Amino acid sequence: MRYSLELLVRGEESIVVHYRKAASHWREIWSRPESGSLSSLASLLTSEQSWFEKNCGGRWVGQEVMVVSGLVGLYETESGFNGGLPRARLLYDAFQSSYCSVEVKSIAEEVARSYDLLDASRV
Amino acid sequence: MKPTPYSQEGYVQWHEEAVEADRGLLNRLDDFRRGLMAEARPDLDLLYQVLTYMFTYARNEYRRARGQEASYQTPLSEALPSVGPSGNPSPRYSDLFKSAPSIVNKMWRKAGDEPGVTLSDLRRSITDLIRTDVRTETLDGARFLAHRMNDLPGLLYNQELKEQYEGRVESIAFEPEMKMASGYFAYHGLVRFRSGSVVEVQIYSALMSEWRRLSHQLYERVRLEPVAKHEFASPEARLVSLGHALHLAECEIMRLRQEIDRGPMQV
Repeated sequence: MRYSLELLVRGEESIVVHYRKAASHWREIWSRPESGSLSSLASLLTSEQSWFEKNCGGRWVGQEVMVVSGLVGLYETESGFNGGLPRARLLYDAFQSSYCSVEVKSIAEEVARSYDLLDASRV
Repeated sequence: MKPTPYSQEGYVQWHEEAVEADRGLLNRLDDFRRGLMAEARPDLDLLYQVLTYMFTYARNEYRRARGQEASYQTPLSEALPSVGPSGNPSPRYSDLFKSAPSIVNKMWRKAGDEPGVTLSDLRRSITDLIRTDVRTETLDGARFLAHRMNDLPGLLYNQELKEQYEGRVESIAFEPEMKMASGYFAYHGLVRFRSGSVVEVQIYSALMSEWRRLSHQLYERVRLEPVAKHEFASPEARLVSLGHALHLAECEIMRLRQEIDRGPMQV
């Protein structure tokens, strides 16, 4: 989440625009039938990585925006993942089993850890 | 006979006298390591892709089979991503490669009356020049993943990944690693790539992870070879005993879980 935080601290408004676009694109992704299963979502993410890189700040920032907006978009401070937990786990698994870049997978790991997504007690 | 006890300087001098072609050993090992770091990058990227795929597969299957979570973590997730737009490798990337002093130490351990490993057969003789690991909660989780790694590429349902795997990986083999004399218990795998690179992968539990940390602190590395002579209550001796105690605890956890899953015992 380093690029996003760095841009926020610098007061770069472009980062907000990137996240807004990404959130809208995620709504579109979740509306597709392929988003319902692990293998088809993983394939979808592999092909969608380039969209985020192109539309959300370039290769490096775009990869981060893709993962953070996708996973954190399912989380609310008040209620946590709540009903969104299965979808958040599905998305994390799809990132990991996709053919997305090592950077995307690494960021997914970082976000999952930060948000206790893999907490073993939540079976 | 090799110089004993070990000193890097003493061994290098002895080795260079015995193997003239290896003169300038330390500098040449540094060059070799730099070359390996550049050359192995695509193979490590593929290994990370395969591992993350298998982590997901194993985690979901483990949940179904055991009714509980197993998560898997590898330092590749921090070592491989490029740092910034420059595309420079992470500073942790070099941690994946055995350092020149560690290689020399291993050459010393493999030497007898004459050097056992020379620069010309380094890749063949030392299989942990490139190494990484996978940490999970329990020994059972480690075993679960290790068994499935041996089923590759059969479990790769992502066609692109499967094709990459088949094109680049020559063989993969995981087996239990039981170092009875040192007290270390884990799963050990060798991934051999067609490029000639070999990557050692250790899969171990959270308890064994703590043992490794202690071993590293004590010996400045994770020591898996036996200590020649022990003293009562020394940290070295207690570390060996601790390893066995941890292994026993892990086996008991597995056994208890199996018993509890089967239901109350009939008296």
